[in-house]
Amino acid sequence: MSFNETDEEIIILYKNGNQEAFRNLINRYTLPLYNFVARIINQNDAPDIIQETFIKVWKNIDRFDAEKASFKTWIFTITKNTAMDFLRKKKILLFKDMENNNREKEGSFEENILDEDTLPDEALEKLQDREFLNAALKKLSPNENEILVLYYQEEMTFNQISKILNKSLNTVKSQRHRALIKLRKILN
Amino acid sequence: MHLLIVYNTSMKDIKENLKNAFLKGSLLPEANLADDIWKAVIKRNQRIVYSKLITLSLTGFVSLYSLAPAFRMLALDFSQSGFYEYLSLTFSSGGSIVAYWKDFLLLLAESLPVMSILLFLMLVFVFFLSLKYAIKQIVKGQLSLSL
Repeated sequence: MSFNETDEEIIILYKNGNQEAFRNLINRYTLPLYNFVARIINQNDAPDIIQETFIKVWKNIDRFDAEKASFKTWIFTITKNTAMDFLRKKKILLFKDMENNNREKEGSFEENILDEDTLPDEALEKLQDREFLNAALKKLSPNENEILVLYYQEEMTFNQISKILNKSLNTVKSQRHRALIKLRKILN
Repeated sequence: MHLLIVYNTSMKDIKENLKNAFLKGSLLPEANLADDIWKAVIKRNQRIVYSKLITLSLTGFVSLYSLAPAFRMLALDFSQSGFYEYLSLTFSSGGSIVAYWKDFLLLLAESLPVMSILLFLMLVFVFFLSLKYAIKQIVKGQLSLSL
């Protein structure tokens, strides 16, 4: 069965008894969620975290409110929380990152800077190599990774990202900027 | 003006390049990951359905099993409360009942074994409710089995 409907329309179909509709949501979001989780946690644990995410989505789908946020924002928020729970369970959450998060909660003067400017052409060429990009991203913290992945890979807006990460718009913008600066240092 | 256009175009290119880099560097999961997740969801659904079905069946069985003694108790209470005697008055002295119908109705109501009636009705209600939800769970279970 193929679905050309929007996520919200598929959810309505599912709620009306079309069980196969949920399978379509799984097919649609497995790859983006896998990339997101694999980047902020690791590739080995990503399948388990995504499976747990989809079970949470399935259990709570009646609570989804399309007026509050899009399904994409909602499912990424659940994924992020599931991934954080996983990290907490494994006790590998770096306190350093948490401290950085708190420090960066304040707005930043850097928000108006065109961030992509921080990456030179040679660096961008290097990034075209998948292995190189993955190795570079591994050197970033999970927090920096998630912002870059959501912004560049998932092409989400700052607004959507701030909802998913539960941070202010300015914080997200400044964190992306810092992540790019760090990426440049790594590439250099 | 020309420089500004060139600058903006260049910025757009860089942003696009970065997006392309992320898309090209996309990590690929195992081919059957989506199917595995779907199977896990179905399995979880079945587990929930079965546990609910067991609970509902037990509740239904207990309420059904309790219906017989509850009914016996109800019949005994009816016979001991004098309800039947009062009721039989409607056939034997219909005229006086018409004259004092309000008092008679009150007397009849007072003679009802309220607790036994409530217990019996509650058991009937619980039985039908558990039957209804058990059927629902069976349909749900069959649906997830068919997927």
